[in-house]
Amino acid sequence: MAAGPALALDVATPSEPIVLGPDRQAAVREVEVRWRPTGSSPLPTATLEVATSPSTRGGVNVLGAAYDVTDVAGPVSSALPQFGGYEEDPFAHCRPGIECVRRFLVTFVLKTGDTTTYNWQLIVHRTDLSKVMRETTIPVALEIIASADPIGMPSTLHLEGDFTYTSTHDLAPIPLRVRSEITAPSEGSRIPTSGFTAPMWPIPGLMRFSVAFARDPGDDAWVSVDVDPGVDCAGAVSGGPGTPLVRNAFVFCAPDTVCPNLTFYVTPAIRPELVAWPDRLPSTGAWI
Amino acid sequence: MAGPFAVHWSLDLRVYPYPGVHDVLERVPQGPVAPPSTP
Repeated sequence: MAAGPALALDVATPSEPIVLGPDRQAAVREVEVRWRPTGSSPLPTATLEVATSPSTRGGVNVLGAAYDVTDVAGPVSSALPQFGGYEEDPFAHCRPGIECVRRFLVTFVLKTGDTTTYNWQLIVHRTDLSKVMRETTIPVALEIIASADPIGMPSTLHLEGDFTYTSTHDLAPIPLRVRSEITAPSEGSRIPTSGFTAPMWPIPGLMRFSVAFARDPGDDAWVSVDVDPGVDCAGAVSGGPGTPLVRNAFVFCAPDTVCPNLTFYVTPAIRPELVAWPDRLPSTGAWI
Repeated sequence: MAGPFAVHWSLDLRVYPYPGVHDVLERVPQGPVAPPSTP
């Protein structure tokens, strides 16, 4: 929803297209929200919304969030406090009669899906209708002051393994721990002015999991991969060779959750009734 | 299917960098990997 100058209940950044897809799974923006009082302008009260479109066709594909980074002055070593959208007032720290500038880190994470152009806006929803009606100017302005989009050749990591299931005792998940971390920006990068927050930016990490059986196990066995924390992929790969599972492995990791270390659980499964006869299958196996 | 069966799996990860931002992607050493344990 664009700003409506007649009432100015909503004030927003210009709608900006961002392209998100398998090779661009995240983006960050920094937005300055400025309140410039004139005369006896009362202190506004409002809420913030990160709006993306399209967003809800067949489920929410893009997670948008805002973080107040006004006071970030050094490297961030822990999770940023997420701004509560409708529950918090972006002007809560402002003082009456004094110009107030707040900076917000806006993050976008693609959960899954093909390359798509999304239009986004950061919207200030004024909740003080009685004050707005008395205003003769629009004292609130939003400006996108910096942007960062992943681009270029990725870091890659390849893991693979073979296993022969010969016992129903061998069904414990196999943990594979991976570290992915975004570190401090280099000098001169075009990044948000609070680039100290870079380690907390969403990690554009694409996961591709595939499985192949030496021979078709029918419906009796399958292999799944779960990612801890956050991404529920259980059952998404099953029944033998098929379409690889491709999705953002880090979708719930940043910036509100710090998880540079992920654990992928590769889990075999056998039809429950076969567990009743474990002696039918001797146990051997090896993992890479 | 009641007999043993073989599985080959692969997991590929890619992390796309932000311009000018250093990123790291690596497997965390875990020492010798034990075969699946008996529940």
